[in-house]
Amino acid sequence: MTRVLRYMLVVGGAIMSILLFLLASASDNSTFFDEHYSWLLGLNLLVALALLVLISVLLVRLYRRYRRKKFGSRLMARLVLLFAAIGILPGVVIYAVSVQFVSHSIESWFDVRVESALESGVKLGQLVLDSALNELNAKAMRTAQELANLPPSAQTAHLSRLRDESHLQEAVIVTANSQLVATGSREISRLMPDLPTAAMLLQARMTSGFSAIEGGTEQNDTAKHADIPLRLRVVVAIPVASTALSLQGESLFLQLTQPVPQNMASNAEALRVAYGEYQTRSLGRSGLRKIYIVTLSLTLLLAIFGAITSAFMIATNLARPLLLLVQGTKAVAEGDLSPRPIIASPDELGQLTQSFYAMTMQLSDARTTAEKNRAELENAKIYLESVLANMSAGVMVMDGDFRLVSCNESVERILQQSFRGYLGQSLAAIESLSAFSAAISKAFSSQSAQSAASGSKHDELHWQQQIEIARTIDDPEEVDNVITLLARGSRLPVKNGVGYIVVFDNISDVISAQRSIAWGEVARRLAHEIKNPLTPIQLSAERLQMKLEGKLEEKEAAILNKSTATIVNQVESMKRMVDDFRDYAKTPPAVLEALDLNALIEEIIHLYTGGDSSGAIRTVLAPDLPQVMGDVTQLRQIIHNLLQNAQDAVSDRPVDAPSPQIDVITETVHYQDANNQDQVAVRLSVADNGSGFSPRILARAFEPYVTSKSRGTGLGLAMVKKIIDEHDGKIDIQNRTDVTGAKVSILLLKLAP
Amino acid sequence: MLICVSSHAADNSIEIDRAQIQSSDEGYKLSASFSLDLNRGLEDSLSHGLPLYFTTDVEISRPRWFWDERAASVKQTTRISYNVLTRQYSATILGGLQQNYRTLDEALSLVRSPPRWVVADNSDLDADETYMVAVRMRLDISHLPKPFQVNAINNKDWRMSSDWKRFSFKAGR
Repeated sequence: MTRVLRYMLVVGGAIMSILLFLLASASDNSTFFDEHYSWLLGLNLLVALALLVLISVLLVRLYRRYRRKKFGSRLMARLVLLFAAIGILPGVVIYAVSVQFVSHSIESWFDVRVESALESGVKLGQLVLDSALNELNAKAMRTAQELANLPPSAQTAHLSRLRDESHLQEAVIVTANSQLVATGSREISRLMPDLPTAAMLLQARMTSGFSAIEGGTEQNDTAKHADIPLRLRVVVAIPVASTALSLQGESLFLQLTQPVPQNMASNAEALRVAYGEYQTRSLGRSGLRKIYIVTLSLTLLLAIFGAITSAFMIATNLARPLLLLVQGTKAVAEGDLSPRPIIASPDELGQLTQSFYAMTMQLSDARTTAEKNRAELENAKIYLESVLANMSAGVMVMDGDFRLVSCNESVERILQQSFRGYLGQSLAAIESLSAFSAAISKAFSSQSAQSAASGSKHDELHWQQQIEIARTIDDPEEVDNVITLLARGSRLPVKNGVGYIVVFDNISDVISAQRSIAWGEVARRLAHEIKNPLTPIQLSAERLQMKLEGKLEEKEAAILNKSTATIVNQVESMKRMVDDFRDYAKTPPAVLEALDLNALIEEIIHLYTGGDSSGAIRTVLAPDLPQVMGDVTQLRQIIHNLLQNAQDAVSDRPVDAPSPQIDVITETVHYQDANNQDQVAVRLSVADNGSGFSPRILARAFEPYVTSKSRGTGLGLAMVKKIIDEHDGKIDIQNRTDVTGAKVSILLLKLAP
Repeated sequence: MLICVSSHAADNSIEIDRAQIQSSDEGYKLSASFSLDLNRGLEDSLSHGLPLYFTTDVEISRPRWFWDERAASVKQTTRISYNVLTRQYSATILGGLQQNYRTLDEALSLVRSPPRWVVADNSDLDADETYMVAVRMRLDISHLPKPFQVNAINNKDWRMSSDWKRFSFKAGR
């Protein structure tokens, strides 16, 4: 119920109560509100109508809501009907009884016997008055006869005597024109007597006389003159005597007025008044009944309106907490755990809403906590997964039957194969991994054998083994092309049973580096050991030649010279080889100084191209290249080496190949170091469009004695790598993707300050 | 509804036969005559002692553009009653004289042909101005007790009223 409606109802009810009170007060037989009674009635009806409109608005609204099945309307409708019925039924019962009661009471007031008694009384009064009048009439007649025989002078005395004797009010003689002739009153100062009117005189002349009862007070009269008490008046004509009585010959009239005795008059008057009042009430009793019934009906209407209004208010009051609860339950069922409003009433309904509120709060908290935990778990899982994914080592998880459960990205990177589609399959079933799976199974079995044999409770937690597998699946014949994996495996205790986990790393590079170091050692030792005998051999050979030169035949001398030359040459060659080894093994330490790489490159290229910019060799040098810290000689050696390799790569090409092209590129590289600071490095790239690196060379290019060239020691790139390592740089070789060809990139991190 | 042609008005209605304003020394007086007849119900009530009141309403107004300026609004009530003891009818103009009559018709004559009475003083109306006068006579039940007023709501016998008779007159000598 809206606020406006409620105020209007309250105001209307108050107004109607006041008006009804006035109406009820005016219903009794007082003169209260006599004049404007119909106005009061009309006003009451108007207000009742207004209240009716308001109530019907409420009811229509409720009905519409019920039809639309708006939430809460059914409960409200039921409550309103119940409370309204409780309020209305007693009122209706009382009303019916009251109406009957009033009607019967009013009817019972007006008894026929009372009416007839009053009428009889009135008739009695009339008879009494009539008889008195007749008596006076008779007296008047007699007096008239007497007066007819009297002379005028004696008439006055006669009149006076008559007046005194008969207690008349007055006795006068008048002419036909109502002119006073004689009067029986003694005092002259008395007021003029009431003279008969012409109508009276006419009647007196026509009939035997005029007689009437006059006076009597009137109700509600605001008369200015005094009340006229009841009196009798008789006018008779005085018969004309034979004697000369009349002066002008006109007729004379005698008028006698006699007041009705006091108590007779008062009784008659009281009777008349009572009769009048009774008749008034009797005539108006239907109106009175109507008044009562209308008042009762309006009261009933007011009671009904009050009942319906309070029914609405009570129903709203009761229904609100229930509806809140229903709404809340629905919301919770749909998963909405936001806080619900509570009713702060002290009774159980209020407690219910409060408990409900507390319950939803707890549910909400629990859910939030669960969500948070789940999110944390999720985050932890994602973190672990990312750690696992970004691990450089490959992790393979298998179940008890060596079926692949999961593997991380590094596995695919190392083994160069996607295993997404193989999840759930036995490892042995995957073709490319047959050797791998065989090795793993063997390792696991020997581990279990070992732990069983040792009999100790403290098992070996994991095994470690080096496994070699073919690098790619498309070149299985390449014996040399293997990658070495360092694998560790252990058992994974899972919920029901046991799984296996294998972690492996590609240690080919490590092994390659170790091999380089080993070679270095060997080279150094060998160089040292071999060099020693070489000099005596050469010296001996030269001495032989010197000593035996003139002592032999020509044919033998020729043989001696040739042999000696061969020995000397080969020894020279061996010395050179040993020197190379020694150079490789003992590279002088780098002397770092600031140098401009671009200038160095241009100087070296100039040697190759001789100033000819069009040709095989092309340079793309970054203009603002920062200066690097480097050893000029060694860097020069590197550049020469790379250019040599490039030239060698593009030298033997098929006829229809595009023209050879060697690019030398320098550029600045921006990166972020471990402390998230911005750093700058310099990259030098040498690219050619030759045949590119074969996969075998790519893996081991930096190891000594790895070469694709038919000649050469294969030490070039190894030296380059050693020098770069001393410069704290990085070198990377790869095949170009745009054309066939190789690209060698050197990253120099140490810049000039 | 009875439609009877008689010298008197049909039942329950009052006819204004004549109405005019005459100027005099005492002021402007209304001279009017009415035709009316009491129906059975009213006669019955009267003979049981219930007095009847007849009120004449006079309104004098000066017509303006869209409202009328009320110059005078007066009324005069005449009471007709029957005394069951004296068996006489009396007619009284409230605030004035009372006269008794033997028959009802005689008593009603005071109602039908009332003496001229002052409706406005000479000073109330401006001379030479044309005024609109409206005259009406009705059975006045506001003097009766409340039950009769309620009765009159749905009882036709108790509603007697004439229509407003309007005429104009020019004030001034």
